[in-house]
Amino acid sequence: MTLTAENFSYVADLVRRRSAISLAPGKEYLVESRLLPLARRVGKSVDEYVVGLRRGVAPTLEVEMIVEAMTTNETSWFRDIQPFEALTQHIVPTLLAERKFVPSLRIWSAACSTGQEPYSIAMTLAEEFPQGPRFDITATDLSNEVLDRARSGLFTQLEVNRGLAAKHLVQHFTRRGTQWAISDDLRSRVSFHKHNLMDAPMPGPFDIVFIRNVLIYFEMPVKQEILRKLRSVVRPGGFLVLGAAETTVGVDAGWARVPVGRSAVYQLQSGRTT
Amino acid sequence: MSPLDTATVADTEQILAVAQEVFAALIDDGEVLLMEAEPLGPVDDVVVAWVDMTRADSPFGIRTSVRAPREDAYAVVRALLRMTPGEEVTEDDLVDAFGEIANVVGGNLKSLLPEHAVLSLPTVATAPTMGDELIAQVGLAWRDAALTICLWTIS
Amino acid sequence: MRALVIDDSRTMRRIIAGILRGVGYDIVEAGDGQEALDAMAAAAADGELFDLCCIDWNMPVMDGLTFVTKVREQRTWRGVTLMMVTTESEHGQIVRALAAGAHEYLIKPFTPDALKDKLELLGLLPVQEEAL
Repeated sequence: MTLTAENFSYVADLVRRRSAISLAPGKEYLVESRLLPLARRVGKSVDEYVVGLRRGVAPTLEVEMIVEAMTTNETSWFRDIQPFEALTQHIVPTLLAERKFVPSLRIWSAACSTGQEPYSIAMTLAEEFPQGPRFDITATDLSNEVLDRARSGLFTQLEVNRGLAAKHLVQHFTRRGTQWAISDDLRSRVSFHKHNLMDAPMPGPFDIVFIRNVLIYFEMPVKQEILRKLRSVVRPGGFLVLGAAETTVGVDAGWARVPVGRSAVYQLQSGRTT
Repeated sequence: MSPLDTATVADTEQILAVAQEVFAALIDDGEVLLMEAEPLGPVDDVVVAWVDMTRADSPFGIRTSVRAPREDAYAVVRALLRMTPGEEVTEDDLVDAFGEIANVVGGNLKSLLPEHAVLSLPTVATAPTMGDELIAQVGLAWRDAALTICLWTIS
Repeated sequence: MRALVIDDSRTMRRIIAGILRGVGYDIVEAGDGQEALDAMAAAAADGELFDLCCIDWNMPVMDGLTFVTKVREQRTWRGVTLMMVTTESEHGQIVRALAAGAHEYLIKPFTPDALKDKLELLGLLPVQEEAL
């Protein structure tokens, strides 16, 4: 443990100003553990790394990485629950009603991390619509490491404890050593790809795009660009699902808010493909 | 349990994974701060907690023990019970909390066995325990504390 | 909100009670299934049934599975949510518990957030916090 109390305070202050998350005294080991990879990259101890940061003007990217390292939490299953209820109660029934024939639903889960979101979508659709329609989920993230884990369909006991109802656990998972493996059936419904949202979008057309708690990290012009690109790969009348506190209002006028409880669900308005 | 049945648990990586999950979840809010390290050599003032896994139809069993120097055991207990710096660790606290660590580690290892077994209540002592044969040993470092987990066959 | 925390380990009861109190629960503790049944009966008699029971599986006198079975036999106790909190984590054990009438199942070891996630799933999380 190298971090001094003073340097811990510096980091805590930085994180609080950038993310509103507070690191109380007692979390020194947490900071030490989370910043160690960043410090090692430049051959320093964590304390030396923070000292170096304080001396120079910390480049924005470095600060972003520190905040990211400190605020990344375990992803949970069925995060916020409401979007999944919206999927069942509104989104899928609307899509089925608005189109005469739906061969299969194509869904994109952007910034999918270790896979909890796309697999939660798969569980929801498999359970709530056992008679169909068919569906396939494209899941993307920037990191090969998390994508490999997501593809494996293997989760630790700590991961399956987060927001996954026991009835879903026993229905869709089996034990493998100390870990839990999602069923081959559900695994086969999701394909994982490395993708950067700043690049051209994944080839559509998609019926539903989940892009939750990702846009908040981008500046307005980039946000607008991403939403514009999404419009080009979403079918008219298709849906966009954002994080609970997010909105397209003031960002992109091509989407109309769908009043489904407290969820941030938007529907693409026809005629707006540019 | 025949010697073959111990293979699923007498595995250093599995034991480390279980121990890491126990400490991360119950003590460190999900953060893995427990790492593999050199097993403890002989220590003067040691605290040991163990649980036994047995099956009714077999004379054999597996003992899982966790041992640490007394000061390190106190550190683990203080963190587990979220004690404030001034609070005193009573002997009861030590026995119950350190015993619970062995209980949760042993309980998770028990779930890896191919056949259902029964877990004993934890025992806590101030001298290292032994069984018939040492089948696995993992040295651990958590913050500034050193711990060692051992698996023994017992009969 | 009231919760009954049932575990033969004082440490585990302390950990669970600590998390639940932090989100606004009043706690009663029991060291085995029989003590827990007695606590349930006493609470019922006072017209103050628990909202939630956190139940360990392996306990002396009466184990958690038996407790769940007996509680589910009482129609007037149907409003109480029963959650197993245990190291028993084989697939078959979880199925057994749910079949016996447990509403949820939390595997030990668990983080405080994991317990709160389960409460949220059950609609039993009175206070929301955001902190690291």
